[in-house]
Amino acid sequence: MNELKPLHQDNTVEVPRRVWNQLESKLNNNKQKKKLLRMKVISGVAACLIAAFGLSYLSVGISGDKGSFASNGNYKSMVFEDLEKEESSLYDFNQVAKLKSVILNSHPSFAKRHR
Amino acid sequence: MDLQKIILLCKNQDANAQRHLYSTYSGLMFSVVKRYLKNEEDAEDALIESFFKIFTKINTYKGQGSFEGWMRRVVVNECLMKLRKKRNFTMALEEAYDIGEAEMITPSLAYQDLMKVLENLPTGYRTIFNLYEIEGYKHREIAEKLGISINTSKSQLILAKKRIRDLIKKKQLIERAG
Repeated sequence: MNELKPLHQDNTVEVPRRVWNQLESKLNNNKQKKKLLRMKVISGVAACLIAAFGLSYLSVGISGDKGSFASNGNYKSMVFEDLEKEESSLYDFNQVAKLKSVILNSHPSFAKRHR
Repeated sequence: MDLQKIILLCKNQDANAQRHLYSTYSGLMFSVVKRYLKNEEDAEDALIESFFKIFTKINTYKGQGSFEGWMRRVVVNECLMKLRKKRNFTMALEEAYDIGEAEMITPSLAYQDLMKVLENLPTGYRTIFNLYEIEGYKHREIAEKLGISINTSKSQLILAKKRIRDLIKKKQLIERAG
């Protein structure tokens, strides 16, 4: 066993005060950095969650629209509006022909021009 | 305050506990640093870095062995890192198998005298002398830490002891002449 060890291991040397000040500021900087990093991680996770939630909401919305496409009353009325007009009496060929003969009979001059 | 309690508080990054731990051990650790690093500025930097590591890595201390010993190892490692970074940390790598075991340095040598003698030693000799004679590391551990062979560590220690003995003799001669 070493003879010098016990004699010189417990000696102390006075440390200048500035050493603690520097160490303290270094520790504080480290704490600030850790805090900032934690904030970044939290905000990153929050942003990811919001993005994931938004995407899932949109995808559910689109798939939901597909499902209700045929049963959507407003959409049906918009699409079938023209067809309904065509089915009305104004678009009936017989009605139009009858109307034409009535007009021609009532105004002979008009009939001459359009014959 | 109880050391275990201080350690626990330091693990929770309590500033008061850190200050308390620093004020208790800084003098002791600074004496360790000063045995390795002659330059005052380097010594202060090493002490700051050592305590910074102690406080930030205190969770790795699992209570096995003494806390002071753990801190001392952190400090010594920091000093060795600092020495390795320096350009002039070039150890004389010549093997010295033929050199006989040097006489033991007298343990009655006062701390201040030993410090003065150590200051005059080349960095390589001083480092190995410190690690082996004062910290109690084995040659195998020193070889691992410094990246040298066990034989180099042994021979460097013998040369360091010879140099110390010569320096002490010279000092004694000067004192007698004075």
